[in-house]
Amino acid sequence: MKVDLQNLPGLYLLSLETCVSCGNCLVECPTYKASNERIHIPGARMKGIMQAYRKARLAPEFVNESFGRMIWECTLCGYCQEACPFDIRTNPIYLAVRSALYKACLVPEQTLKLAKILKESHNILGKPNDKRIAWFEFRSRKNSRLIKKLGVDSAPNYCELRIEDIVREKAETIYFVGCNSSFFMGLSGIPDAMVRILHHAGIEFTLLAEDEWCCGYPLLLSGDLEGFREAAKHNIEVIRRRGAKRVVFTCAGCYKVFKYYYARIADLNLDFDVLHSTQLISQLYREGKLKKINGATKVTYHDPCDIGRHGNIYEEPRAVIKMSGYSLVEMDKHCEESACCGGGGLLKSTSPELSSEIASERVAQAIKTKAEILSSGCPSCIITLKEAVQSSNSKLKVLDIVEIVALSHGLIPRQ
Amino acid sequence: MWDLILLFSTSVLPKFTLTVLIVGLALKMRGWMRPGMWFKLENPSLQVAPEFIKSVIRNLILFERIYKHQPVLWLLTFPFHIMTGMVIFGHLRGFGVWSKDILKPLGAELTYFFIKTLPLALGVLMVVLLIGILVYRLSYKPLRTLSSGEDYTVILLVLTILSSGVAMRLLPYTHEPFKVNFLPGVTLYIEETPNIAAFTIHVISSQILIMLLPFGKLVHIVSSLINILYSTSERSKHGGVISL
Repeated sequence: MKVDLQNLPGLYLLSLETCVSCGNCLVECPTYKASNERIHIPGARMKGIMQAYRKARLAPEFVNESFGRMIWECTLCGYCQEACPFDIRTNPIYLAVRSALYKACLVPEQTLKLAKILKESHNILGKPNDKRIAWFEFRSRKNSRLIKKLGVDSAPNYCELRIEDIVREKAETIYFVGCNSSFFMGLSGIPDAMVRILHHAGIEFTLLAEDEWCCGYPLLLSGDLEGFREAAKHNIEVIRRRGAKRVVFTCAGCYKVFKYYYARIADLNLDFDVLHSTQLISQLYREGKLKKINGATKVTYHDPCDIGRHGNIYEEPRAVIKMSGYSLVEMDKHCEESACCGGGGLLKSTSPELSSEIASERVAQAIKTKAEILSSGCPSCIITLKEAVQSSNSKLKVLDIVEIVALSHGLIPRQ
Repeated sequence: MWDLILLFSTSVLPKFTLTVLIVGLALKMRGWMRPGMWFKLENPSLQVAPEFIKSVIRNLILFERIYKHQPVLWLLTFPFHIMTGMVIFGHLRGFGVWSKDILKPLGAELTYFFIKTLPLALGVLMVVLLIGILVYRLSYKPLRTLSSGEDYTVILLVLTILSSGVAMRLLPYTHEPFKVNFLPGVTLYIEETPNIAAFTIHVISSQILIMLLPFGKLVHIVSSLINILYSTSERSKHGGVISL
């Protein structure tokens, strides 16, 4: 099957042609910095795509290995756009090209496998989707064990939650857990902390449980637009059925697709607010539903690309960290300048070595701050950074921002 | 021989250059306006005007992002682009857009400075800066890796235009007025007749550059504004850098 890049919108061509190869994009590009290979320079990608476009309807053999690597080996962190003097929108271009490659079945095997699993099981792990809240039981058991071991003082505000407290027929607030937090037991602390914060603040909420499907972001990143649209349609439908007025996310990727892509790519009308956990928690602090806490534990915050550079959410997480009684120390690269953790753009599946190289670099920046905790607002970042910390032999703790909030309020046991 | 080449480059070539430029830009614009089969792109609204102007000043005029990430390149490219603007403005005097009479209130000495000394100094400085840009591109390994033949071709072409322009002022010339009619309504008047060889090289290389404009990286002169308009629009409507 031939790759058809002729369907790229004219505006993207304009963007591609605007590139003057000034090299500003390569200075902080995480993939290029980790690999030093030309194919990872965003400017070279622009040239590569333009060349491919000029070849009109490409023969698959033209889309050789290096062109494929050029497109798939990218974290889509968006730093190149932030650095580009002409503000060229690189990510939408990469997504459009990935979609053209997907249509021509020119997708890395692992990516294709992931897309297939996802469409069959509606989650990225291929597990039965009715096990979406298996984390709850797992975590409840773990919490009880820990409290028994460490004493009640380790979590003075801990309370036993029942399944009815977190899954309801209808609720104005829905907590969309996301695949990573639902199925990776190593990340189960994130939804556990989030439901406890919501409960503690007196918010009536519900999870979608087995009705929740993957938000479709991995499908979008694989280029499978149809699969993405199907996932979006389903999720919007089940959210509407529950009469939600707002949906809150601990996953930055899920937040981004709901906020920016569901309406425009899937052509769906969102009749509810879309909030990242840090936005809701800072609101709860402002409304007095959560009490501000004093403390001095040093925390450094990693801005997930999906809510930071892509969503302009910089202030809320920092405010939440401070109001939860932590002392925030910034890494050299933060906010718009934040470095990627290496886990984005499906890079972890297409090139795991490159991904961990990037993560190690980010962890080194965090270690330099001498913080005790490295926090973030995205389970994907958390898992990637955790792995990098483990291989660095550092004592740095990696916790999601909702976990450190729950800890400071004594909602979960302090280990 | 130079006379013959000069005749060609000032009478036949300009028509060809103009045709190539117009047709090239028209084709480009047509391509840029295609809707494509991707998502529905939103048209920018008037509300983004302040943000757009801010972005143009910061990015296209001050080269703020270049300064942030490659200060050495900024030291070379920022003055180079400002000087390009000044030199183009100076050329407009030759085409009758403005006259040296507007400088009269400044006195004879300053007028001489503005129409003789400054243009020559700018020309020499621009040659130096452009050589600097070339050296930077060649010596900074990642940038050299990224560069293609086109990047060097454009630099060499501009270098030819600049050095022949400087040569026109440095090589012996006759104190007789010089007039060339490139196109109907586009006539160049100079107080002195420059060195014909330098002038011819200057005219031909400039026209090659104009013809190349729609087909290579120089198209950024036109497209960068449109690109910034759309990016600003996406940022102000949806926030963040990516959107669609």
